[in-house]
Amino acid sequence: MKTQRLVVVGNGMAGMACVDEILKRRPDFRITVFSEETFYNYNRILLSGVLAGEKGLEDICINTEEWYRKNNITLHLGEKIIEVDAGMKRVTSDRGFAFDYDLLLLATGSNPFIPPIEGVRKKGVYVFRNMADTRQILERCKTSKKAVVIGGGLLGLEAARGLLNQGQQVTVAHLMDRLMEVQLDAVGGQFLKREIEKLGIEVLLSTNTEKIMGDEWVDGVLFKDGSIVPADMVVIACGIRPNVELARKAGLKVNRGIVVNDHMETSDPSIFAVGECVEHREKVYGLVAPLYDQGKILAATITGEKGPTYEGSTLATKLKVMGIELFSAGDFRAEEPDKEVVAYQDHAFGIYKKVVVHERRVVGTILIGDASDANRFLEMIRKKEIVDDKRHRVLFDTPPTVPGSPTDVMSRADSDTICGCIGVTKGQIVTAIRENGLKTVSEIKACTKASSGCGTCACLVQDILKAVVGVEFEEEKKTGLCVCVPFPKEQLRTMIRTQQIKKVQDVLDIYGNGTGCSLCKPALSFIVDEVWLGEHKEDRSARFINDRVHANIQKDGTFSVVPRMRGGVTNPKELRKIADVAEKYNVPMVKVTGSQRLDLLGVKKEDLPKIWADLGMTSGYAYAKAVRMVKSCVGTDFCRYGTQNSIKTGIELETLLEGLYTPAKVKMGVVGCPRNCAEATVKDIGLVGIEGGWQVVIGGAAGKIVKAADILCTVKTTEEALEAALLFFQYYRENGEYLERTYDFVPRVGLEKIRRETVLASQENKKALLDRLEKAKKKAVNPWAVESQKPVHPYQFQDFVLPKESEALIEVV
Amino acid sequence: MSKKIECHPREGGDQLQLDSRLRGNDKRWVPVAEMGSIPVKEGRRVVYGDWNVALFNLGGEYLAVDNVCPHKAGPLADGIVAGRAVFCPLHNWKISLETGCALSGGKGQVKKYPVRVLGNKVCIAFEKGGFCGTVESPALDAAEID
Repeated sequence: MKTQRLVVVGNGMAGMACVDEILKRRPDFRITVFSEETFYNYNRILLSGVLAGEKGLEDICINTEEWYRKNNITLHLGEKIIEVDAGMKRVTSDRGFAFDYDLLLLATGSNPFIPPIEGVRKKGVYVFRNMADTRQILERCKTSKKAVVIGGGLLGLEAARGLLNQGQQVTVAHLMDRLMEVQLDAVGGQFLKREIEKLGIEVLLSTNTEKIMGDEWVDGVLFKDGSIVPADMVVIACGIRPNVELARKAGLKVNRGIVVNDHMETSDPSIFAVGECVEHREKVYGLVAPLYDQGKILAATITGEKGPTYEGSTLATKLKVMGIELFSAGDFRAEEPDKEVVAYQDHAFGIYKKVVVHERRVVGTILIGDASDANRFLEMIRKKEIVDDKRHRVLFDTPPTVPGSPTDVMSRADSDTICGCIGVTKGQIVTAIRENGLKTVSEIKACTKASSGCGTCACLVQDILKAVVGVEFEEEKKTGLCVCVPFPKEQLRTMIRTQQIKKVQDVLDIYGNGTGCSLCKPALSFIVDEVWLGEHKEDRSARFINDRVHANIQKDGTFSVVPRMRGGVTNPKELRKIADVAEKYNVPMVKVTGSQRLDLLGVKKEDLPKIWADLGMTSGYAYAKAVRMVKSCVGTDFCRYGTQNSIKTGIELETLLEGLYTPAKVKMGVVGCPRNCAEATVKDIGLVGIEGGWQVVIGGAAGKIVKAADILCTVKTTEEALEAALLFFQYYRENGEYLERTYDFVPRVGLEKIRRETVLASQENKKALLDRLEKAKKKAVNPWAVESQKPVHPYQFQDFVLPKESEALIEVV
Repeated sequence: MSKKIECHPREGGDQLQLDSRLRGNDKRWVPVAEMGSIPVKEGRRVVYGDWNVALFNLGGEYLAVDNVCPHKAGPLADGIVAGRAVFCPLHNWKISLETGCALSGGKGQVKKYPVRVLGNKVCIAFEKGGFCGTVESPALDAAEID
């Protein structure tokens, strides 16, 4: 058989998933793909995540340029096919080029439906369908304050949530009397409406849009009842229509969509169609799972292995709106009298569960507020399982030994579908783990594509992994910050930046559980500070008491004060001041610390500002996740063994970095020779003087664990040594997890990688790191100097000590 | 003990009428702080006679508990507030501001005090009686608190 030339029109999820299946069968096909969009193949479902700021545009790419190259696929980006000559077997593009084909695959998807409303062409009116739309909406959000979403279906609600995250005041106007009427019954609609309103989104039902108002730009929406809602932008999400224009030109049979049979063949033997543009048994699908089902069948047909047939898909929908769990599948309406409803409603908790039973089988379900049973019901529906024996507890199942425990998912059959989007079974995942020695969820995702669709099955995939590999299971390197805010630090940084979030509480409200804890609140403070570098009002209530009063709390509630003594060097004047202060405020203890500092212990909170004012020294930050100190030995100035000037270098290093916050405390040391008197080799960063140069060492520790530091580099001059220390310091600031000390950070990232990205990086990258460090340093203020003059809050240090009982007493009935 | 003193007007401008005698379950409300003197989601120590109380501002709503963590007597007023609970600054026990019960760390409870706002004053009804719960952790020594 000669090599087949396959032309694919459309570079979307359905088309490329099908191409993937075709390549599995026939890697020799010569495939050419035309894409009207100018991006590589991406996951369209996750655009709502991009709009919500939970994902970057780059995160949703499915196949990169490498995939096309590796599979010898010629990709024409930004080139639209406008003509099909089915007789000549030739397509023509909008650039005027003609391409001959042996086989043509139409994966043209669908177009957003724009209702005939006056004013839809105004600026500020968008559809929400592709990457370009998403970019435009995000851009508009920067200046817009009020958004109206026309359409309260799945996409409209996801758009509304995204716009809310982008700081918009959002109104959803829906034509029907309930939200998501395609996926919900009337009761479900009410539950969902309440949940949506709780998010702060206004919902208008049975609302018909009359006109979009404004001159050049939209400024409001007029409804048929005469009411007006002001708007800086309007997003239209009124459903989609199959894109069948080309199919018509090709003379194919078209109803609502391109008509295909059970083998996914159209009325032309050389032309095939897949995805949202297709009509199969009078049904058009707009969800992702059926497209994958179709792709598999089509791949068999098109490669000459015709046999398997497409029987239609069970429709299942999950709403991807953070804070709302919603799942609907199959026939949930139960309008016919022979269908039986099993339902549970908890209005206070917003939980609604409904299962429809027909002829002893579960045929449909709606879950709101708790969708943890979604996969269980979906399996029942797909398998047409008879549920007589469990009918009396069908809603709640037998409780598993431990809910969500690995054994829970492992008790399922191998043929059970885990990833509903891609159609990956439990058995396939287990086999993939065993055969390829997979250890992380990402590896499974790369290998089987499980969890690469909507991603909601990632937890199940992880449970399977845990059960199969047991103790060898590796947590994903990017774990969430905390149970309160289940996002990795990097992602939080992006969300905070793109959505201009400047308050810790806002991060908790939007992305977390709303309350936070003593771990994530300081961590979020650090991230928000790091992102805004002082362009925000600090939320002090999210900080640990030490950072609120700039002193270290002791076991009895008093504080300790450690003035900055750079390099551990002091002088008689400073010593005299410290002595005076200790006497004046009856400081119970003055102690020399392990960090070559003097510590005033047992200070009362209200005395703190007075003590700083009297001392006139800067804060030693001995209380914070910040640069603590640089210890030094006496070096060449005095020591007969010294090879380098460790005092001068230590003071210089401390001066360069003091006042900067870090993921965890950073202790440093500079020693003039390898005798290591100031213990630089067990510090986070150490400079060790050697004959003719310095060794720069990192990641040492002498605390709960003791660990010698690793050598980052060996250099000749002091300038080079300081630069290396600064490069690593900033690299750690940017990449360390909150509370992760350098001795954990260095092994996690790897010494080689750290070297490559710091001291061995290009001049340009080094400069960028140092520039960011300098910017942060410029914003760093010495809290003692500023606040001893003026507290951030009149009661920053104030407790309420009331006069004697009788004087303050009042009585109230 | 009973002494009638002037109180700030409630919103509406009415002068609050104060009875000169306590009846039944009446409480003695002691004004301790001006509204707004405690930043939102922070706490402050209130010392009144023998009482050492932590008063928290949860955003217009004020709650008060003993300022002595059931674990090792840490000053709860200096803790991080999360929702309707506070984390002790010493060893991170989580104490509910609604019930005074330890929610994590160990078992124990601190006493809770009634709080109300009269005029622009936050008032606490200081009541006698120490801890009302058991402590299952290293013995506490309330005298440690300064």
